[in-house]
Amino acid sequence: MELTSDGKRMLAWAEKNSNSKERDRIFAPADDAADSYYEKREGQEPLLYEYDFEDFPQIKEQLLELWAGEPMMQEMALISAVSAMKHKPVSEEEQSGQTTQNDGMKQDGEFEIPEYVYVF
Amino acid sequence: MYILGISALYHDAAAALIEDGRIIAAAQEERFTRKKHDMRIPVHAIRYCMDQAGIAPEDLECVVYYDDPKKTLDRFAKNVLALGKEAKPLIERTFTSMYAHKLWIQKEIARAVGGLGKRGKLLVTEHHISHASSAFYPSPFEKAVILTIDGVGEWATTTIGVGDGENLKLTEQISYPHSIGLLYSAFTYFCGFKVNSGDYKFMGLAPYGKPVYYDVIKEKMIDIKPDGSYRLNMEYFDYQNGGTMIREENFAQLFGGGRRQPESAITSREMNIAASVQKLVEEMIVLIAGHAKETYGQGIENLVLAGGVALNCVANGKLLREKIFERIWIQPAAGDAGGALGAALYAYYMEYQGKRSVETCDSQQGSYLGPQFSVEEIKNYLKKNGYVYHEIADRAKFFEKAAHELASEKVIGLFHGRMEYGPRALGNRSIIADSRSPKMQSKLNLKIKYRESFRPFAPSVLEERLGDYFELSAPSPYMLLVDEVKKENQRPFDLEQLLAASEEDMLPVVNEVRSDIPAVTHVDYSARIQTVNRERNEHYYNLIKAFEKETGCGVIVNTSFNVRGEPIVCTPQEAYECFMRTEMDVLLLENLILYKEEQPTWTETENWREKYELD
Repeated sequence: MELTSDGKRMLAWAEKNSNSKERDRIFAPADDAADSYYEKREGQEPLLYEYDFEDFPQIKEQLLELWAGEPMMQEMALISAVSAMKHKPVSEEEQSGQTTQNDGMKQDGEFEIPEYVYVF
Repeated sequence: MYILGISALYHDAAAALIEDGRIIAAAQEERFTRKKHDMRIPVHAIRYCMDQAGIAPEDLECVVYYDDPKKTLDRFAKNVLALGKEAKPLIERTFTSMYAHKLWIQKEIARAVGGLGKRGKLLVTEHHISHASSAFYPSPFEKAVILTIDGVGEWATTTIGVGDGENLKLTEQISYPHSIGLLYSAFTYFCGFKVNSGDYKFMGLAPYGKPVYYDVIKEKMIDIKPDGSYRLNMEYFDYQNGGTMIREENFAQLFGGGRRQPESAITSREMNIAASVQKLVEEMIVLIAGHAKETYGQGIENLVLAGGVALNCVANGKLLREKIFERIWIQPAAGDAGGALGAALYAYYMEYQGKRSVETCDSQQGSYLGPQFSVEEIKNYLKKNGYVYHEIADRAKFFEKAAHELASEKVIGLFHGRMEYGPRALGNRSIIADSRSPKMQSKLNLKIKYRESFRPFAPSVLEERLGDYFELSAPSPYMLLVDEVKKENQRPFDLEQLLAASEEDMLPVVNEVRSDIPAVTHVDYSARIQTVNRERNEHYYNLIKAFEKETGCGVIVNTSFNVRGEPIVCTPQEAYECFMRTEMDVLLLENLILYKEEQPTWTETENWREKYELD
């Protein structure tokens, strides 16, 4: 399956920025010296909030804020904002003839997630 | 104040509606669409919940979604970053779902509901907060330690916290890719079962094996600290790469061969792997609970559980027996479906300062929260189609008749009241049978459920008779605790010898009589127990009571009303279809009795065996 142009941009970003240090930070391996692997949950807030955006400036701002203090993620924020806007759902008026049953992950003929994949 | 909670876009989409903190309705979307584990926005479940309350979208205070899309995006993005140039499969697999659906969840839900209530904006909460909330708020505890364990939410895969009155706080977590749920699913997959739906089959296979791989798994695949925290050795797994669950070549090296092909014969290797992984997971859960008790549980004797791993009822039974906590309550819809309920409850208490009123036997209402159908509706359906039924107005006579059929070893489809919320059938959408029958397990597996013959069946027992039949010391109304059949009721047999003699045919093993209630006794004498009392389900209680009166036995077989691959039936029509497609003998639709031999010839209008993909 061919990646979209944004998918390719994402891959290029990952290729450019990935290194073993990043990999070990995200996929932290076992550490014999550690007493515990539990992480404290400070900084997880907000735990309940209004989720909303309509346009590119809004989603861009939110993603830049999500990744504030993470310079490597700034480019991904832009790629994600653009990708999101390209996939903005069409409104009811534009969608005449479709039923609400078509909302969701998989339609007939769409890419089907294989049985061996845990959906996350 | 009405609050609607929604789970969707992962697996087991659902909707749950609460009014001033009380559950009005909750149901999984799969029951309406007939697609198992349906993940799509639950438009049908939403419509059912609203209809049940008789409200319109504008009557809702707010709508709450059970997962935070931005945190999920964070995990996806960082997973991509970690993989670098190898990220292509992950991007391919995840891109559309993330950017076309998850990030636009506010639009998808607004369209499905017809608005976002008075608030006008969608609320989102964190995945494990939803699980935690679903475990704590409906529980019968004013205060409890909370444990949630699943595959993964946004980042968290295991969390620990405390609930107190209206307040709930999670304090520690373990993060992706390190996950007990994903570990279990990886092995489920390796042993040839389907991820997400085959995990409990894998659990049911464990008693056939020995934990011979326990040590090698602990040595090579996972590092577990004394406090129960853990990290996986990702060299063995592939889910983080967007591929299958496992790196098969590394698994093959450790376990002497590749993945078992689905539907092929199950060998002792798979049984031993299942036994090993089950032992390991039980140990981990006990350690985590011990840490939680030590760190947060001073003066708290209650534990609540949710997250998909909390459906591992064998581990739950072990946890109870360890007596780390005196009392345990597990959300019946412990998987993602329960997240809908948890999200709604969390918003009610933490956002809207709702007042909590703790009920002695919990607020889950038996988990009978789905649609029900009147006798008139049912009769109209049957008459319209020319199906033959007998109405028994006298309730006592009805239960007497049903009990007599049960005692005559008839297999009975039982359809009554509101449909269950969660994966277990609890007597309202159940297939029931005589637990005393030695042949019943085989009959049910092969002729009714059309499923693998090794799989055990579970008992429903009158709550007051629990101690006569099982070692379990606490009520188990939601069939989430496993314990042994009473020692004096067990009959000795040599499992190892039987397995060796039977080669690949499990039937001789399964047919070996293991206790006075052989149909519900697993090969290690265990049973996944449902206790039934009058308060939670008077109809079901009366039926079992009538069976007890006829036979002296207070236990029956209870399995879900569906064939393999099909969601549990929801409507009388689905019940009738399942009845006619199988070798069930009798169907009870409320107080109507239908006999198979009286029914008109059944003509299939669809190839249902293809429709219901094997799970």
